[in-house]
Amino acid sequence: MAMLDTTLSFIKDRILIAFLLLMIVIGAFAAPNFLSVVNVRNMLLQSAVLGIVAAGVTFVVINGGIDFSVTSQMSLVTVVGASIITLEGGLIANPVYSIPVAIVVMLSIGLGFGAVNGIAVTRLNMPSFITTLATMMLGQGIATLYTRASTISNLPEQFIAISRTRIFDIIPIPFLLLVAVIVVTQFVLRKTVFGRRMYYIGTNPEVARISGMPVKRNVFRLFLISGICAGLAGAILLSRLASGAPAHGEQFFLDIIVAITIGGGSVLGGKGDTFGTTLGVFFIVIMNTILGLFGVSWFVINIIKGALILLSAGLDSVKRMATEGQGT
Amino acid sequence: MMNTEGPAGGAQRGNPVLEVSGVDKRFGGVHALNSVALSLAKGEVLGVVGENGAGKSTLMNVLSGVVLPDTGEMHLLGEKYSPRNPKDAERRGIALIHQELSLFLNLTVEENICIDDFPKRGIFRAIDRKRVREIAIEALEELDRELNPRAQVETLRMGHRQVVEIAKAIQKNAGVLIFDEPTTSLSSREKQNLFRLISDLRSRGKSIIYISHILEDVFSLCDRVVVMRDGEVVGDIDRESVTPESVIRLMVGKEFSGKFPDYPTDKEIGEPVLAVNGLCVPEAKIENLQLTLRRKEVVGVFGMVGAGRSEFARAIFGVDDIASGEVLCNGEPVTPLRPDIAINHGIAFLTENRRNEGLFMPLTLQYNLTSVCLERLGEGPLSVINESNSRGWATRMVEQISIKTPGLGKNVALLSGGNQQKAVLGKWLMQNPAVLILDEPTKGVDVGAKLEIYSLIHRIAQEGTAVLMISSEYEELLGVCDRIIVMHYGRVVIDLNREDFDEEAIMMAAVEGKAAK
Repeated sequence: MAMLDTTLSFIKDRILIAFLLLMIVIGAFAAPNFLSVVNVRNMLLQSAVLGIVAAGVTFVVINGGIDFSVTSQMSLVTVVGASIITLEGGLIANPVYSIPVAIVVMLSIGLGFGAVNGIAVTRLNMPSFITTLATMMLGQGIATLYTRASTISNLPEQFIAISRTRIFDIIPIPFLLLVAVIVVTQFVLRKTVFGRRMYYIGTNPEVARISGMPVKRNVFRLFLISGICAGLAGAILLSRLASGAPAHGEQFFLDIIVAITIGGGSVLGGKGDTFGTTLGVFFIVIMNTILGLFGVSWFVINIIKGALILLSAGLDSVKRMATEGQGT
Repeated sequence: MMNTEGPAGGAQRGNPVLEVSGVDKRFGGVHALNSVALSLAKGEVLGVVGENGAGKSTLMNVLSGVVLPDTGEMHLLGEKYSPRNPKDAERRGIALIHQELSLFLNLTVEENICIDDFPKRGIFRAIDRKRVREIAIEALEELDRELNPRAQVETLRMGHRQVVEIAKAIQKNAGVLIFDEPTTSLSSREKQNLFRLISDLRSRGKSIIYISHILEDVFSLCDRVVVMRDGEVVGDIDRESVTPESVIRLMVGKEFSGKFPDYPTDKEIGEPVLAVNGLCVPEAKIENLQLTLRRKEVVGVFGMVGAGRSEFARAIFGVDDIASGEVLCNGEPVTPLRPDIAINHGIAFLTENRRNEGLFMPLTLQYNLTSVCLERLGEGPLSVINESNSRGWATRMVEQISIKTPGLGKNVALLSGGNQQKAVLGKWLMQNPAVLILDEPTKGVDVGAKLEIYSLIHRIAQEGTAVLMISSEYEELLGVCDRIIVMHYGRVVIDLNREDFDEEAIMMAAVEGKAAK
């Protein structure tokens, strides 16, 4: 695709990659244990969870919407999953059965939320912003109610092993899952009719409709994709933390938005891809780690992240005005 | 104060309240107003008529400060008048009653009347509710005593909303009121009410400019009628000597700036392709509309603003909902009537609004050209896009209809108006449509590009496509079409074959809603 758009995002990706390398160098010099096996392994594991959930949301964002509910979907997934497999009175005692059942249930929770969001947005014409804000609170509330605000732990070894197993002692299994998700989604977005259509719809849904594209059906599917990604991310999170709790997902809220905007997605729609988002995810994870190693407090980190969103979304807006601003 | 009863000046009409001379305005290459002169006396109702694009609206926009003229002089009550914005114009006493009323539906009548300058009181400068009520009652007193100042505008009928708009202007002491197509959305009773009100305003010494394409109304209401054509005032007729025929004769005969490609001589119109039966669209007053299009035929649709031309086209393609009726393409019913289904039946539709409905503005030319045929680019069970086809097809289309672009990767927003229009046309031609509907295909493109588009239309028709072409410039329909139908308020008034084309008959049908003789 020798398109202006892709060329631009390619250049942006390269700048981002250069920046990432720079940060790694800084991290390596500034904090001696930054490149230690444990730390790298940890960063890869964090990237896996954040990357998978952000990849799903990227689909919705390309289409000009947003999905805030993913974080509470993840929380709900961890508590429901944990309640099925926990060795302390879990719903199914034998891990051989409980783990596959739990995985199916966890993914279904994501799909269920996706379906509700999708119906509200396509059938009732509700803005995704308000719909997913509402389902976010719903999910949060249900998760808290379900556990009576407690943490469910004591999970079977076999399940925790999913995130503890690694290849060459450094690449955790979940990271391979992330790679698989990115390869598949990037292919769908950039190479298939379904993916290409999303950029058209995200750019201008009315032109897309008059051009004969099934706008509503497409939008509905995006929320399903976003939901199933949140389900998968929640399952990995459960394995990594070895416990389910109604607050587990919350921490990702800001990071998802930062990763997508840095990675080239635009809340105005029509832009971005999951590859870019993943670069954004690495950026966030490395930044979090470096700032953490330096002992910078969380509110300073929040200030930095807020500024990053403003900066990248602002640049996108300015660029848009430059290319299509005349006459409006 | 000025002495308006002075002995000098217009003997029979009194001194002019407003005098305009040599007003010129160009928009790019379009000469919208060409040295326009106009005068308006105290207590006079002046009608302004002209076909679409004659310059009526531009002139009114100049008078009300919306548009600044390039050159020219205006005097109001003998003093120089050069409004820089609508607020300025209002302050001097000229108010425009908008075609699309500019009221806040969620506010009350009284709030709307005072909206531009709320009376305030106290140290917090809070809105003085009591004063608002008084102002509103005073303004409504002379217009419509029945109207409740506390009613929410949303709950009012169109006629009453218009009264609020007028009250708003009167409250600001407007001496000159400009009505732009005020009756488009009124019932006939509301219309009579409005006319009575206008007569009242006249007897109270207000001066009124009344723009409308309904000649009958203009004749019964106005003291004098000004006819515009091509941005010029071509006639200024007193009420006593005005006739529909004389006005229509002045309205037509516009000199067309471009030429037309030769009309194909060897044309043989084929069998019917598209049939529209009993189409009803209540919002556009379209009722029981019939139409048949044949292969290779180019049919023009003409009508004044509000005739329902665009709504008709949009209904055929399923963009907007219809109440009833059916569309048949090659004998098969297009159901449900939706754009994607219409496309599958071989119908294509270039909308009037290129920017918001035709092109994906921030995307490239290749993306735009391949947007409608996207499905066909997919291969295999996963529908993987064949990039070399995508590039190949787009390249071929760019050559075929000669879109001038540095490359397929060019952002369409950066192309010229004419090339953008060709890009929209190109995305539809990719489908080899059996029926091509064009809504204002030459809108906002320069003369050279217009000529190219006309040739293209001939070529497309020659290859077997039936073309339905909507235009508000009847000259281009005369130049290009095999047949012209004229619409008036949702009805087809006449249907003329090329050998019967007659400018005056077409204009008469569009303006008066009836066939000549």
